[in-house]
Amino acid sequence: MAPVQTSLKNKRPAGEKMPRADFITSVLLMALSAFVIIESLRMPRLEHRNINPYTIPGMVPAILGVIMGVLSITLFFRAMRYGGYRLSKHTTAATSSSSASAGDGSPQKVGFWHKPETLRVILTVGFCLLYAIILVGWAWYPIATFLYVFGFIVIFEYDRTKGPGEQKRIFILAGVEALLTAVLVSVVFRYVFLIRLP
Amino acid sequence: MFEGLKMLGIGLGNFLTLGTIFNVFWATQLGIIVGMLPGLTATMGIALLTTLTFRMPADNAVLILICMYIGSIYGGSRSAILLNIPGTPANAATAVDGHPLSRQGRAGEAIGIATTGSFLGSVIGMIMLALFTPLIGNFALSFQSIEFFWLAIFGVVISGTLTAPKDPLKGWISGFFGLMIAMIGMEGIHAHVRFSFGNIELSGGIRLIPAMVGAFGFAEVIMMMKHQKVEIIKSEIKRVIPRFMDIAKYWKTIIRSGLIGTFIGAIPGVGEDIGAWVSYDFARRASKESEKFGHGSIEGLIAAETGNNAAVGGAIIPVLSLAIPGSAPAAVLMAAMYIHGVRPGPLIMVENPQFVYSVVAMFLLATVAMFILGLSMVKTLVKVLQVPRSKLMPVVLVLCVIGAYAVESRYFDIIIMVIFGLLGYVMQELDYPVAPMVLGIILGDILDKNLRRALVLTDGSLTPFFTRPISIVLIFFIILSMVSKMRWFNLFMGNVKASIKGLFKRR
Repeated sequence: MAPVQTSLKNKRPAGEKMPRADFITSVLLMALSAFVIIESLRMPRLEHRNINPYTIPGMVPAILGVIMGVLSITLFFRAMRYGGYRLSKHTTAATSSSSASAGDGSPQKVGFWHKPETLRVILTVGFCLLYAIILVGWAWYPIATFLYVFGFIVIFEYDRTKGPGEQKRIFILAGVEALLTAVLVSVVFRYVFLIRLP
Repeated sequence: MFEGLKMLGIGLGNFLTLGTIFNVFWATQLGIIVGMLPGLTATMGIALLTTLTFRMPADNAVLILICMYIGSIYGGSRSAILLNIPGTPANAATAVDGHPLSRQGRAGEAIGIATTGSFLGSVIGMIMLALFTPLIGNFALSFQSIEFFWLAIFGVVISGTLTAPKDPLKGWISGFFGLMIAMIGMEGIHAHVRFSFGNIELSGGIRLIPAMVGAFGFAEVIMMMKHQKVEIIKSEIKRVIPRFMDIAKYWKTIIRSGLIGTFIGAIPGVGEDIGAWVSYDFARRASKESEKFGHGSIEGLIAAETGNNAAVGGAIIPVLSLAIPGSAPAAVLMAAMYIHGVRPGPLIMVENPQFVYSVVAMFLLATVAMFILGLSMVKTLVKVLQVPRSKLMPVVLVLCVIGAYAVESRYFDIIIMVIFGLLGYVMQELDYPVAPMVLGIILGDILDKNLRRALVLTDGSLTPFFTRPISIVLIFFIILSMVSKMRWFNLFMGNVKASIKGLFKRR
């Protein structure tokens, strides 16, 4: 789900919300634009083909690099203004909570690595990468899909406070769903849409 | 005009077969379900159906995709009303008034009103689509390289401004980042391969569909799994079919929201979500009972749902007339048209005018199907919302993987999907809108070719870029959309407004 806007208007100045993240992003973007500009200047000018000098391949990327450079420098200075260069988390939290007293509480109190959401995101991404990058290329497609769906459901539904004996239902349901998904997707794509599976 | 009606009639006539009607109904119903399920968006639905329909004849495939589009933008209102979670981003404004209504035990009524609002919005969008596509298409025939160059810049800038109203800088960064991504691969004038670093797969460029399936599918999966599940409201659904007077009372809001929605939808890269918000905002300001907004106002619900469905029609106008998508789902729709050999753009009114009216006919069929399906089987379908996320999301990812792969049977596309999924997730976390980036990927090629061609035509002179009439208009809007977000400009405009008001008061 995309972040839900609650209104079109926001009185708080942009850039106050996450100066540290903005600071890091702006540095990365500046590096990207520098890289793109240098690469574009180094690109062949195709003189031997006698092309019109205004149509050299590096022209547009170089211009885009410059524009991105300007935008990222703007972001950089804005992040500086709100103290994004302070790399220690506590100082940032202090400044932002003092200025955001009317805002949405203090989300930074719980460390990023200790939030339950972080674990859920890491699990999701890890499982998806395992499936999309490794399993699909390595195992037979239906088996890869079965393993992934089964593993994903069990990981997220298994309750560690209870014994495995009490939760047979989860395993059975996950198995059924994984089997159905694997078989249906494979059959439909292979025989109805005539696609060679990965 | 009459020729248009005739072609519309022919288009409609071609579609009135049993097989087509069957396609319309299943695709719209599937669209409603996709829209209802948070985590499956219209973009994702169309991208998946593109892979499933690409062996069908062009007309049937595009018809199914349009049904999916309209169905899913409407379907999102269900979860917005019942769960307070918009099924697609387009229904965020619907939740504001729809959910309070269902808390008051009026869920059925809210669903009925949302359905009618969506239907009327869709009808208005369709009429505007039929009227304006030929006009804009013919007008765009006079566009030359310089105009297309400015149009590309205009699209990226305005999409950045409007999709990130709180922080337009991030919207512009996203847009120009998309343009940069489009530079990867073989360029269109000398076939020189750029930024491929010796990788053969990269020299073909980044394909749109895998990138979008990642950014709108995989990224959503991560977003959905991040949060704990929510409980469905046990609101009894009684009467769904709305009373005529409830709707007729707000005819002004409906027409206003329809027009605003279409207009916002037609702006490149600014889609249904913004269309719904803007028409909601206008309705609140114009309403006599604005204090009810946010607490279950029927008028607010109508405004939001009419606005987002009208934006669907609006978003297709620039797809057909300029080959520039008005929204993210429309971008996939456009990519699908290319796959099926239909080449949208200014020449379509010359080369293939029948197709434009066929699209209008498809739109009509999908709208009617949405209305009928929306008012029936409500209670059965609500059960879909009870599927837990941990069971739904792995299946969505499986579809993302196969969907990205299926179009060209390239394993590399799965990797692109994954990279854009992670990128899309990080962008959302850092408040960067994804839509401008997608628009940038599409417009990059147009920008690149046309800027260089224009420079050849003007022999390196930049003056014509700033003196041709259409360019001046586009530049004006680019600058306006950039400065309108700056503080000094708003202060200045505030002062101007106040002094004008002062002038009238003294009299």
